[in-house]
Amino acid sequence: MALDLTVNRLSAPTWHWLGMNDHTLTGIDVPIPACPSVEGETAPAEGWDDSPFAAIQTGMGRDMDLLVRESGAEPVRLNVPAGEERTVRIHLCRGAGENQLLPVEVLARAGSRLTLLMDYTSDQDEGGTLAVRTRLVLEENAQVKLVQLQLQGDNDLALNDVGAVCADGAKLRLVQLFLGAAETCSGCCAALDGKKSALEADTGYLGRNRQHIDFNYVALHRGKGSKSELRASGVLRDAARKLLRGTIDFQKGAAGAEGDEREEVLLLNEGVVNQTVPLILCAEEDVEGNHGATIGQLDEDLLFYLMSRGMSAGAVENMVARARVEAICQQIGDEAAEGQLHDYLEEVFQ
Amino acid sequence: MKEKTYVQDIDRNLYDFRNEEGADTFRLQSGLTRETVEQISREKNDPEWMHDFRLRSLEIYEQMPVPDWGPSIEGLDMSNIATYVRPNTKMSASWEEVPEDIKDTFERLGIPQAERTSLAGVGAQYDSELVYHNVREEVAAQGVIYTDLESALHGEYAGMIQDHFMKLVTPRDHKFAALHGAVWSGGSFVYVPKGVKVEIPLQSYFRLNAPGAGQFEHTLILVDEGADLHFIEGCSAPKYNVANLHAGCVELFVAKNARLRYSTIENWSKNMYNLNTKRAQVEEGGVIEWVSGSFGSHVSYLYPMSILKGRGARMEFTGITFAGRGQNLDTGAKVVHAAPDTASYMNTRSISKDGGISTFRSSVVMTKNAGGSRASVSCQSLMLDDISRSDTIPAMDIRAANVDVGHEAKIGRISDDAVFYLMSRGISEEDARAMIVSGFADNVSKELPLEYAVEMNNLIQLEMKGSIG
Amino acid sequence: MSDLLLEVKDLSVNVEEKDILHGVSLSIGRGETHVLMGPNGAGKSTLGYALMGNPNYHVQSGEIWFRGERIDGLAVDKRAKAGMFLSFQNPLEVPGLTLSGFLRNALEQVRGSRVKYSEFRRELYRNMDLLQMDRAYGNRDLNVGFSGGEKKKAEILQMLMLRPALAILDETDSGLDVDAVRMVSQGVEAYQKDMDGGLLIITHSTRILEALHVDYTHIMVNGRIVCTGDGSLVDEVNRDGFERFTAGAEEDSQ
Repeated sequence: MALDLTVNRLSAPTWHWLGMNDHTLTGIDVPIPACPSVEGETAPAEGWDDSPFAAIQTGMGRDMDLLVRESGAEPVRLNVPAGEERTVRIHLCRGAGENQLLPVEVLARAGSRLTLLMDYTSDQDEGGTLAVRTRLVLEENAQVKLVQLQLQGDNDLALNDVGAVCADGAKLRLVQLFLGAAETCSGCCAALDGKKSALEADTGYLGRNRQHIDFNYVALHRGKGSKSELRASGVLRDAARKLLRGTIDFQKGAAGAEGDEREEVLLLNEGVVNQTVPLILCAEEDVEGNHGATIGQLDEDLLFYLMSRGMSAGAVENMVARARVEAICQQIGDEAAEGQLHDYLEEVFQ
Repeated sequence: MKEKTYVQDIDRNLYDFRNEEGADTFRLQSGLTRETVEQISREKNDPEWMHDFRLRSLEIYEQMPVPDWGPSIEGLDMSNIATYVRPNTKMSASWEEVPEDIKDTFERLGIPQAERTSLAGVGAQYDSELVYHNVREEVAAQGVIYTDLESALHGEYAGMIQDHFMKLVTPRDHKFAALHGAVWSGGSFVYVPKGVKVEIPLQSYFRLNAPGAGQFEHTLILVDEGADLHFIEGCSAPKYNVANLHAGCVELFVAKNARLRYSTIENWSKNMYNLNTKRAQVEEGGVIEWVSGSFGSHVSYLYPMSILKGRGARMEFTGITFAGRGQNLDTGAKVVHAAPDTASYMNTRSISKDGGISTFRSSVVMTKNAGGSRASVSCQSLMLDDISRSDTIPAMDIRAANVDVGHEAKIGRISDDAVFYLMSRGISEEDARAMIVSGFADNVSKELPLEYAVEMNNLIQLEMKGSIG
Repeated sequence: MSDLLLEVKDLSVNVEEKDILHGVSLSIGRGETHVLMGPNGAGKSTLGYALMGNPNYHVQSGEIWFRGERIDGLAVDKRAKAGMFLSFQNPLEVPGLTLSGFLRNALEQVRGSRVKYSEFRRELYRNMDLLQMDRAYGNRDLNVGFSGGEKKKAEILQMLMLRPALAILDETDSGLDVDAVRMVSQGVEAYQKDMDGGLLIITHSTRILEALHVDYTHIMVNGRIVCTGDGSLVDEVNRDGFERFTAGAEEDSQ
């Protein structure tokens, strides 16, 4: 069976002719459950309460529920007990000729800390879909660092959906890199319900060849003094195209909330398409919302500076493109993951 | 020939009816009939092409959906659209029937008695017509044509109008552009010949008071090579109309190395649905400058669009929107960079107060041909209380590589420190806040001629009155 | 091969359609140290940028010869490969690109061959030690979060690593405390000695010159070199300022 999905809906739609209001995926074959290799402790299915997860809004939206349901996949469940600290790794390698899906559910109890490192790889030649949906409940003062590295083969469809709800003082740190696949669809929605809850997200991408990347990132500010920082940084070259939707939604009651959205896109040649729609929605007086975007070619002063050390324009562009990704890589804070990323980059920049 | 077109049109309607359920149901309810449009056309003594154009537009209007984004226009009685098109003129014929709050505003803005009645649409033309004639004679000496569009359709510029009328904003643009195409009436036509610099701003506000005009007026301005014009539309006093739909259309053609500044201070009465469409096309080295203040209306959809068609064409948009109680103002700008080395700058401010909703909406598009172009968007929003709403919805679509696009948006409130500082100098809280808001709006006020800037400031002071509980 | 490194002949340069340099001529030989002084806005930095080939600095007339070849039409990276170096007043920041990664890459480009890591690291540490730079800076992102002094040191480090035939130091001493100036001038001294390189030091103060041997001093005013002398001219400027020269230039232009 094949499904048609509409995902990554813009929080407040705008002119249809821009084609930015949502993303449609047509004829998606229902995936089979993925078999991840998990390092670290998972929770048993018995006694696990799914209900708080069902209510979580994700970045890609409700159509992902359909895909997850049809796949019949059981989630990897992580439970971090109150006050404890854990590191868990999930490696996903899509087998040749298969479409796979993995749901992940994370319950981070009060005051716990979790570092969850996920990487997605697949066969270089034979394409297929790899879908991952990660839903997280962060109780009071829980801190979760979620690192997701998409290093899939050039012909893949990559779907990566994240949804989180943060209680008082809880903080979600998201570090994502999207480097492979023919088409990437990624969404993240964090409901900052609690007082002083926070989302800090760094998303990096390297769009090349005919890659198509579609993002939807939403910070729902409901708690007083909640804080969000959404940063996206990427490079587009060849005939790559990217669409970034970013929304800071200050809902009523979020007094003292702060939201900041930054985007930098380096366009290396003609033929790329860069679309950006950064929303700030505001129903509260006492907030501070900022957005800034810089889109374009390499800064000419920087180009001159680096070339004055003897490098050609092409070499400088390559170096700066790679530096963009490396700068996000530094946020991971895990040697194994960074090493894996470096190996991948070496190949890309060969 | 005419008959044949007519029959074909009907056939297509039937076809649409079968395929698009709802479209025709709507037509049946709309009350806007072919007969109404025919009657308008007859009264205007339209040339044949215009008659046909109106009927084609009506068809498109019937097929098109209302927008499913932006503020709700449910309050607009679409089933009775004909009444907007043919307002009962008797109703606005007496000064007594003009609502008290509008009379009050005239009073507080210091508008002379004669102009008040005129602005309310009930007076004779008084001095305004006279002023208009004087202006017209002065610029005519330079070879500038400034006349009403309807009579121009029959004069020596008829060909020029046919070449440009609704070529930039076509009836297919959106439902209300189609409505405009079908029922437009009144408006101005301006032609500035090559190399002519018009020193005094031309002001359309004197023209809008003609009976029956002002709801669906069409403004067509052609600024020829190397010429220069400043056109001002409207003024800061509220325009009161009984019929509460405004679907005007503005088309501006800026030729090579020409410059046009188009300023608007819109302050329709607060029952108005303002669904106006404005667009400029700019040739090589030309400049379009928009200065736009939106204060009135119940609901607004307003996004002047600039198409930078020639190398080195430039656009600047400076805007302010002030949404108070009961207002939902969706405003912004659109620009398409379709040629190399073009530049655009948008600088907007919006203010929300007393439950008002303001939305800044924009799009910046750079096509493959736009190499070497620059765009910068800066929008700031001010929330004056926590029952209001302010949204920012900017979109960018960039398809050229050696370009620079910058965007920044800020949202926040009046700083308590600033209020305290001013109050410590002996200023009341209300005045302090009003002063800060006026300062926030200075991006627009400093672009306006002095008398308009003063009136706009008065308007802000007025809107701010009573903002302290 | 002649000992002449750089020859600037009657060079006029404009920036954003404003004429800045008016017919500047200058010759620098191998191993020579030249100082270019002058009041703010005289055009000193413009000369540095024009020599290095910043595309925003347009040569209107005149010629630039470097090591026997005319270079005023060459792109900046070609000039760097030919052995020219410019230290920037405000070096740019590149997040994600480490100082050492960048240097190794640049070194390979300049030499046109791979550089062995062990050899590179030995050289890097030797030079960092000389400048009393913490070795950890090698792994920090290029200029990101560097203080003013650290940025200047990083520029000198790049010079020592790339071993240019001619180094142009643009206000390398400005905004530095006494210790930092000493470290920077030690680095410059090492370059003078080890590499027999030519130096053009652009400055409007004289602090960096105290410990260095200066062969020639040029005074630039209003885009012209109005006076050339030996090292003692530095002391004169130190004592009397630029008034004597600026007065002369005003008469000139009348």
